[in-house]
Amino acid sequence: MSSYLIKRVGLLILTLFGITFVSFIMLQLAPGSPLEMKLSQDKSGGLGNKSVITEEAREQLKKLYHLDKPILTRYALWLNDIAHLNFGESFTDHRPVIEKIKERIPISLAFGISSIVIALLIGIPLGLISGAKQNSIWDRWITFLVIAEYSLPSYVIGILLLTFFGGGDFFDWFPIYGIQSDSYENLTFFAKIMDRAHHFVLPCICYCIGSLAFITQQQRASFLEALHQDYIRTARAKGLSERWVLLKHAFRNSLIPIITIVGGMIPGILGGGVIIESLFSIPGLGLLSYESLLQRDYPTIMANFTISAFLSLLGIFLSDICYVLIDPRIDFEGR
Amino acid sequence: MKISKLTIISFVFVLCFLLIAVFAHLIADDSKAPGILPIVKFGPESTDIFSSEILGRPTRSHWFGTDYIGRDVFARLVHAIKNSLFFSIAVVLVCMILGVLIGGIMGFFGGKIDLILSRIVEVIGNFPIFLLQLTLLAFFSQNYWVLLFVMTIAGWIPYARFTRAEFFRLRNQEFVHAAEALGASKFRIFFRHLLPNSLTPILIYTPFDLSSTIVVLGALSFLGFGEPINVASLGELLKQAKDHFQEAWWLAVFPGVTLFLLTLSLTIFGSGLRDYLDPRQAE
Repeated sequence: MSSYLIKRVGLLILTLFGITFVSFIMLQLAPGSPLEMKLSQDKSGGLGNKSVITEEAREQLKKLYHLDKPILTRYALWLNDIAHLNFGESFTDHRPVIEKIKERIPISLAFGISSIVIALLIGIPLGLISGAKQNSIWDRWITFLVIAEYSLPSYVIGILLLTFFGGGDFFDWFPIYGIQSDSYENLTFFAKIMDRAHHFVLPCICYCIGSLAFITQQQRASFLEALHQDYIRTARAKGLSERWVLLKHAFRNSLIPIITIVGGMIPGILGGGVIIESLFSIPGLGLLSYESLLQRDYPTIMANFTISAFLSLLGIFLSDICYVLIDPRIDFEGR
Repeated sequence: MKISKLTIISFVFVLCFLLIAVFAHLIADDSKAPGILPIVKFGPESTDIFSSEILGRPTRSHWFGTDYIGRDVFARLVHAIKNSLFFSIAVVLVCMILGVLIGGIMGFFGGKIDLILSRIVEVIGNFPIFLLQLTLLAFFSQNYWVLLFVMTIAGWIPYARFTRAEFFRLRNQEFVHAAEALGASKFRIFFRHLLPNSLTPILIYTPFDLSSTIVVLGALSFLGFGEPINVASLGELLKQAKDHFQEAWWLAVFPGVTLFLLTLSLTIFGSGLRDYLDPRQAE
């Protein structure tokens, strides 16, 4: 167990190193040095007069961005900044980037977690039916549904949902913008919940579809695998009812892999967030990424990338750990 | 192993898309070149001078309507299939060659080379790739070479994994030892004996990879970071749909359904191919 843990932690550190290295290289490669960008930003943001940048100010900025130091020192300083969550100021509104990110995380997390939960609640029973009645007509339809879901990218679903239910030529059923109405503050408590839920439906469908396909497929596979185990034969030989065998013995064991894949879904949700949040104007991390990418707001882009990378890494790491903790049959040394 | 009807249908669909892509200029073009009579007389860039309507509904002359500057959506869609499909095929081919070579080297030499490359594979495999791609694309100007590079960053990894595993499996088989005993060079063993025998998993993976490459390419263009601006592509049409979803359902429905059918037929064809080539994997 410990050697496996050490291996995983080693890989985690190595990957973190890789991610920070890539971010650093990208910052260096960015068109125009960070200094030039800052200067041009300040100029355009200024009073419009030809602000002459004094030699002194230039030197000051150089110091601020550590451009007077050799490249390896700069990398070390950049690592130090990251470790202190110091990502600098946004180019657009001059607020510390980390503040902007902090206020966005809960929104993205709410969508991410609730969509995973919904996908689990639908996907597990579907996978169960599909696996229990292998090769039946149910199984075929569910398998086809899974393939179809895989082939429907979230942006296509989102666009179609907006077109059909967003008040165009067809139905005007759901709001198309943000997470709450303009009159949200004046609503009663119950109406507030309804308002949020109303805004929540379309984006959540988009989030769910992809993970739903994945969960259904995994649940089916792991249920089938559990059914072929010796303890199932034993349970049947004991004379237990088929229902009991399926639900108590096969189902419970088939849940193990499902619990652990949830962590691995975090990168997908963070990546998909850019698409879905920008489509529905949800003020989460993904929309922040998208806006900063469009505005070439480099400090925000890099901070977003680094933090998202770190979060998804953490997710993968936790699911790996869960996997070995939950299933005592796994041979740690062999891995 | 019998080939299922569904596989055949999906294969026909894939073939149709390929034909549309290859003959895009015969289907929709506004050039007045002699001898060519395209079915639709609009190109992807041309606007109809007689009834150039912005966001026009589908009519007899514009089957799928017109887009936000009056271009024919059908013509644009045909050329979008061509652009998206051909570029995705190029990406898949580059990833495949790169992955097979790197994976082959890992499996062939083993030892330290394998150890180092394996760590690199694992590190890249843990990256949030889509965000990395977006970030890189925001830093560089939009052209096909940058896009190709960005889409290959992680794309080669599955091919490398498959090839590595196959090479490890085959390296100690008797025919390889026999070739060695006969004095075959390392180069010859690599390319003549090991490589041809390890292509099955790669062949099986390719249709799935092509399908997901098309989806990712569409996503990048959908966000405005994909193909060069104004090039007709599936993602670009859907981006237009996003900007005009209350006015123009045809911009969403036709490209969306096309993309869905394209990826769906590739996936079903891929599953059929897998069941045929490797019955052990089939459930």
